[in-house]
Amino acid sequence: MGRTGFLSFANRRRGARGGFLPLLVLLLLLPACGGGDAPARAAAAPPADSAVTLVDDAGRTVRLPRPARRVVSLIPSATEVLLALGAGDRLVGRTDFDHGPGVDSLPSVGGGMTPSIEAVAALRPDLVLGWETKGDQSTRRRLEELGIPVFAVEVDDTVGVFRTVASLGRLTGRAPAADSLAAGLRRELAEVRASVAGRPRPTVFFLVWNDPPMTAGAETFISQVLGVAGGRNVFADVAGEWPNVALEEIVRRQPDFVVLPLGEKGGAHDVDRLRGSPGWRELRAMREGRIVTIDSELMNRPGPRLGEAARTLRDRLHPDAAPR
Amino acid sequence: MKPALRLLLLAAALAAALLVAVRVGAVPLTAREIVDAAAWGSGDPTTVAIVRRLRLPRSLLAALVGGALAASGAVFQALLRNPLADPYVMGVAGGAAVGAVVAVAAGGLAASAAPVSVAAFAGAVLAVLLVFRIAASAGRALDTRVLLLAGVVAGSFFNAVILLTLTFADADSFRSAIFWMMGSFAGATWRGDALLAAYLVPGLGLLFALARPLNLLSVGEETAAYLGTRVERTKLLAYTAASLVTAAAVAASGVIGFVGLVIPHVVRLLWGGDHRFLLPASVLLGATFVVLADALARVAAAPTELPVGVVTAFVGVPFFVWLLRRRSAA
Amino acid sequence: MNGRGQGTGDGGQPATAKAGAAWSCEGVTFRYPGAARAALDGVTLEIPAGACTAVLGPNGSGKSTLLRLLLGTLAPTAGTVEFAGRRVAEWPRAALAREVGAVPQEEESPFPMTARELVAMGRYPYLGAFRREGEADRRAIAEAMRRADVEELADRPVGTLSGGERQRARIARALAQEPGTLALDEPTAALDVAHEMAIFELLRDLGHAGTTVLLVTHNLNLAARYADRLVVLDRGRIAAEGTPPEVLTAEMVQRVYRWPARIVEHPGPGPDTGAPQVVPLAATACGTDTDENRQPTEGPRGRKDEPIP
Repeated sequence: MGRTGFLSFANRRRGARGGFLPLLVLLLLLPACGGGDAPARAAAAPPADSAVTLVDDAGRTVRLPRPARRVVSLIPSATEVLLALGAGDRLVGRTDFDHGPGVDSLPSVGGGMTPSIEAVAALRPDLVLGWETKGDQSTRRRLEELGIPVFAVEVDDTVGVFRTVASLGRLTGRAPAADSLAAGLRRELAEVRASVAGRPRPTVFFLVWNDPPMTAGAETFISQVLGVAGGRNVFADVAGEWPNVALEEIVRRQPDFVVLPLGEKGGAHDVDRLRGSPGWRELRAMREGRIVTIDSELMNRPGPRLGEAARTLRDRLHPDAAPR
Repeated sequence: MKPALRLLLLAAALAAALLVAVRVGAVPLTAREIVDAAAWGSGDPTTVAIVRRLRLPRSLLAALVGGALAASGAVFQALLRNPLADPYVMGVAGGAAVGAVVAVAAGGLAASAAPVSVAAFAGAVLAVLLVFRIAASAGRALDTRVLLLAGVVAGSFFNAVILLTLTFADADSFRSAIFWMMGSFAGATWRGDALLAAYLVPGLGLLFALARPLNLLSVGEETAAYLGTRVERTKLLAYTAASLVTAAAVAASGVIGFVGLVIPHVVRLLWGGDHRFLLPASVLLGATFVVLADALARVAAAPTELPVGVVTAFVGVPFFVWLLRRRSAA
Repeated sequence: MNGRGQGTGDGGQPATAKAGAAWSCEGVTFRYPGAARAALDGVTLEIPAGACTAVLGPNGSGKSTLLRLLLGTLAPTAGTVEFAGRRVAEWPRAALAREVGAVPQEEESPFPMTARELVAMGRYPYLGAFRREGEADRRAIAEAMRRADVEELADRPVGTLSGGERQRARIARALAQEPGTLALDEPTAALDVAHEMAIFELLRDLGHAGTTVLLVTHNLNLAARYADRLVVLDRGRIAAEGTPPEVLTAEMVQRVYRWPARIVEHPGPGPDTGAPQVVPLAATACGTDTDENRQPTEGPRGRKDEPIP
């Protein structure tokens, strides 16, 4: 699991949103992209320095005396969202898996899954974004024992992205930015969706991992983005989030397109090698060049670049639908 | 050098190791800051928290687990008359892992580590009982060869159960389970340490008391009987105590290998195999070794923490080879 | 002492170990689980106290099994075994170990230990788990090592000793138990002539001092010279019992060992003068033998009905 062209597992968010002062505006903008799953109440936008209380994705209520100013994010997706919200100046620490111009200069606290508690504590954060939502949440416990609030974030799908944008906006006191980010994202997705409305949907196989071949299930954001982009996940019927599928089944289904996420290590030669491999050769999509390579950074975790991901896919699946 | 003096030296080595372990970590702290924080609780609150709530209990846990594993390894080697035995030979590791993995997978919103540790302990105990049951169904319940076989078989079975559980677990549980199995002291708390110590003291005490009978058993059960040992009773007590001690260690920190196998041999190579010395010396040396290994695990790739079991193996193997060669040349 | 006398039969009343019978077996049968025939079948005998008794017999005759039954490692399938008038099963282990020093034929030693540590184990029946070695213990150990001639080996690791040296160390361990009775299983199998003789002389001395000695051995001739009584087992039953001249006859050797031999008298000088000595003959005198327990490595068949000298 890591930073190749294939999925990094560290980021999924699902939120149960509640609280004293939710935003009516945001509520109105929330479409039934998968159905909201939390009660929302109407209120005015809170002043910038008041206490923040939210229920996180592990069902715990987190209270901050004021919006967070020193945030350590253990989840690269959350880091991305913070940067997109313009709250990058609040970040004081990152994990080994965070890269990019906004974060490279920050000290790392180790792996996202097993960060050094010491290193986190030494950064004196007033908020840590964690990934643990179930079971033995030992990192959370250790940090809370030291008096550091931990907000669990879980993103599985597009709904989760919106929830996390809203949550992080509240937590950092940048709710208006969150609103406009969410609104912008919705606009992007709506535009893409509209541009392919009514067109026949090609079947798409998304290769998450090879050896053994792994693809994205129907409930993943990958599958959802494919849907928005005018495609159809050829394995939408298979149970599980990241099912391993047999190569011969892939061949049997003969998807119209094959999407290969390529990371820092992937390249054209990898694609060619795959095209020539036994089994993969039998795919018409491979032989006829209907291969979509996409930057793995774009697709390996749900985040604010979803709109860009949807557009990119749409441009490849329906080249004639892209706006001039 | 008298054995008592040697033990004193080993205890001093352990104390030194603990000092080193508290001194080092992902966050650089001066010795002054550490002393202030540890002794008086003064200084920056974060530093105090790091020293008192993180490094101290963690190093202590490493010492407790290292000592427990080394002692029970020595005991199993004597009981099974096999130098390759280690504390996990009776299926303890497999059972504990099954308990922990099941607890993690079924954990839901469990907020503390207690259920996982308890489940791991329960799994370990059940595993040992299962191994005895298998051996008993083949004839004599405490027969050495049968027990060894039963332990190996049970271990394989548990591994299969774990893999099966992981196949159907969601990614979160999968991650948690794998990390648990790799072994770590990161979750150490004072309370947990106190509980573990309260548990280990009588267990290890019993094993120390069995030192002479273990000496006799290690040359053969028949001979031990001729020399006046109540063989079956000794075996039962020793197996039970060693298994429980191992189960507690594994429940507290996951599966950390190499210590229980090699530390007793190091002691034997240096000072002979009399269990009256071997057992306490193994406890001290095992504790020292694991404390230092954990310190290394924390700083070698800081802030990423390496799994302790990896460090114990990478460091321990070359050292053991060196020791072997020195001894053969001598 | 009568050859096939009845057991003392007063199990439960502790008799003094030095008078009468050390061990007394009554109708003892033992069958290993899953074995076709019993290893011992209805054996009744007495091992007299204060004397040296040798148990002889071909391979598979049940000698080692008998020894294990006498020492309590095995329990008889039928019959009773008593030591000093009390059933062996009722003897507490440590108490029995103070009375009987046993020397097994071989022993594994997977862990390093010095010869002295090995011998020091013999004091366990007195020290238990906790008491420290005292002056008396050290003296017993030193004396035992001297008598078994392993003093120079004291600090050598047992793993570096030869088979014979290890055997002597084990004998020293048994002596360190300061027992009234010694039970030895093939104690001289790996020893050279000098050491073998030395051990037997030691056993004779012990016998004179009143120690009961029970000896399982293959060495017919030394047994004849040093033992007061011989018991010969054959396929789980007593084939002969009595003093050496009574037991060691050419007929017995042919019957039990199925090999022709001639008996001569020890020429002396010394206390063994006149003791019967077995001289096995060359194989040409072997007759046919359809017994299924015949050893496969037996010598070539000779002519039938060759007269036995």
